[in-house]
Amino acid sequence: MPIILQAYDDKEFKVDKQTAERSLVLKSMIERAGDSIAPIPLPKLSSLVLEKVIMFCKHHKADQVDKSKDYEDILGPRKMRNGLIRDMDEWDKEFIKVDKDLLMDIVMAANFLDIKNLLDIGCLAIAYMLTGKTPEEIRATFGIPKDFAPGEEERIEQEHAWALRP
Amino acid sequence: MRNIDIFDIALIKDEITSYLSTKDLAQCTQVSHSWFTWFMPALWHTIDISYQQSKVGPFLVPSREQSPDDLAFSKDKVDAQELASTLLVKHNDLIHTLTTVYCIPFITTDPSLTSAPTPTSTSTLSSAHTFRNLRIFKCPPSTPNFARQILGKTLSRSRLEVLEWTVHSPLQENWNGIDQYNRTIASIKVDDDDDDKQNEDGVKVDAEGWAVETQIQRLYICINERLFDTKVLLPLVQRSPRLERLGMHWVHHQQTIDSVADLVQNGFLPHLNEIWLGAQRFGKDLDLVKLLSNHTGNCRTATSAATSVSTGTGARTGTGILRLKSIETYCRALWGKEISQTLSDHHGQTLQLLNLTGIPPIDLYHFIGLAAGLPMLQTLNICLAFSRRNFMDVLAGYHHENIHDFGSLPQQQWACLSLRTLELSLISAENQVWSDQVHETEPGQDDDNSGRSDTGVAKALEEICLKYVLSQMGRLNVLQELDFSSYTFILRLKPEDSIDNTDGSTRSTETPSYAYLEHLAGLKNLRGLCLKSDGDVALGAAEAKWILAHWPRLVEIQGLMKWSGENNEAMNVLRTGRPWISIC
Repeated sequence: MPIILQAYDDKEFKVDKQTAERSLVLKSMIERAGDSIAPIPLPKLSSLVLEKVIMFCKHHKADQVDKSKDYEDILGPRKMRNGLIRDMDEWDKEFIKVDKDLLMDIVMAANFLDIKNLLDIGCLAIAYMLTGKTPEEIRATFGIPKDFAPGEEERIEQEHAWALRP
Repeated sequence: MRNIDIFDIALIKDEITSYLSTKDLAQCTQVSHSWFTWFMPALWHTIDISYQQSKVGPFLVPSREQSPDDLAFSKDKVDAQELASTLLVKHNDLIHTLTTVYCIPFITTDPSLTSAPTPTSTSTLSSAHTFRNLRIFKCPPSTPNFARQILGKTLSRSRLEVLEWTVHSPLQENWNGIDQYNRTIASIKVDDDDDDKQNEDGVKVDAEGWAVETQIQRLYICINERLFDTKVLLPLVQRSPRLERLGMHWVHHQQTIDSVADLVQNGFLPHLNEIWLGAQRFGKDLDLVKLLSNHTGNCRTATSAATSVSTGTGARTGTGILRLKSIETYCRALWGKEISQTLSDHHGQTLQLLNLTGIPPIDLYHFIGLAAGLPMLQTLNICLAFSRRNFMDVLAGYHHENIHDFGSLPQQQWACLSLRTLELSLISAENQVWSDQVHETEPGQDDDNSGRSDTGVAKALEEICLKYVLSQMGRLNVLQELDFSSYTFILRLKPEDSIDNTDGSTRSTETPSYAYLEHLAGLKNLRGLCLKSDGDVALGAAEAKWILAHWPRLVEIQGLMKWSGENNEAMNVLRTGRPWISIC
């Protein structure tokens, strides 16, 4: 029996149970709903984001549920992860090549729906966008205005001189 | 879907920062104010070598690139100086990532240590000049040079913004180090500009090596009152023109208070906006606040705290009346009346936060605004360890030692109608006290006349009382958070739904009382509801429907338990009707 997911713009998506259960939140909702065939409303997700999330879940539906452990094995403990972004799966790499806004929405959706390995690759992708960039470049990438008072940025830079040394 | 930033979600932020190098994190802090706030915690670490921590062994928060595995201290051997020394020698690089250094809980009763040489840790500490907070706890009176050197180095450190210093004597009356300590402090030179020179950080220092002007913004000092605290405080305060907060705990020295007030009055501390005073007695404490307030025209706020009682923020108005913004008490019976009297005398009109723990119900009556009126109160937390019955009487608006007939007493209405958060907790529901009292006053009457048991009478009275309490709450039409933690009752739609139980004949003291949602229909702004979480609370589908209809803004309910079938039904109704509601 297909599961119907409803985005906030009322667009509905039919997915199989195995795909939907990649999300621990959906899994729990499905279990609670029993035999109900009512659409599951996801008012926080647009159809664009939901489509991407479903695409990811479909691709990974046969994975072990706790895929995050695999990433942990590849990447090592958290503190050792620096510079290991290239170890991401090829399909995932292509999947996550989206514009910045959509990427942020996907990460939020992964967090909301509790899809651990989508959250992982989303965060990796954001980290990748930040890696090696100057503050100015980050501002340009993320469209952030510079709101420091005169001298404030220099003071922070001075404070973190130890960290900025090559 | 993004109405909040992803970096506001700790899980996502931690995940992202875990992939970034130290350099990248540093770059991120320079993007904007928000980014600075988000990424700073990942870049800097706090090491706590306070007494409690050091006793349990390794204490380091792991740095990103450096494992602290090579640090191991035996709790028998360790003392704070060794800790500080080892830490700083072995991890000199790591020290750059500190925001806070806690030291030095080295308490000794050995008189031979009164002239202890300067420990090595002070010299190593001097190389650590990038941290911004220094907390010295229980600085040993027997090694005053150590304290002085730390303080001297601290003062000459350009970046230090927060200094917290606790001087503590384990031998209150027989402390032979006090004279030496005082001599040390007395040797601090304050106004010797002629000898000024620059230290290695380019900071102007006097001949003693103390900075002429510090960057300290927050200064907290807790000193045994036998010390001449003026000699400690004033040099620090005088050299800290950027001071924003000044904390003085157990500083009872009149001259100190006056001197600080003089400094403020003469415009020497233009940024000072909060003074924190601590004492043992509320009355004395309050006197200090008033005194300071009278002295300091531009002192915007003052806080008072003490061992048994802490009061909140006060401000001096143009008319010279001290106003309180918040009161937090953790007292039992001793102070309740005194504080409530003070509250009704001076501060009821301005109070915004009231946090009461352990106040006896009789004093609570004054506090909650039934008598005094707290028109500005926004947050009220009440946690009692007393009789449930008196608690409810007071909340219902009745104030009497033994109430058996509510109708014969005038009821006061809550005056705190601007309340946004209300939390009621009862540490120990002493139902036994309640039923005992009933038994004493009406022995056997109920059995003869109405067939009700004492318990039944008690229960019936409590439910009447509960009705009045909920009616009082129902008037709080701007309330956003309602927390009934650790108070047991069953919420029902209206009395007729549980009419079969209202005579109490079949219910024991263990059975929760009934409370009726209809009394709370006025809470149109309610966003969060917290019920008792031990499974006694039961909401049915009808109640859930009522909630959806009457509390349009409710987005969070805590305390509904999954294993109760009735609650499951309620949860389904809530989730269907309002899918975004958070239930736990």
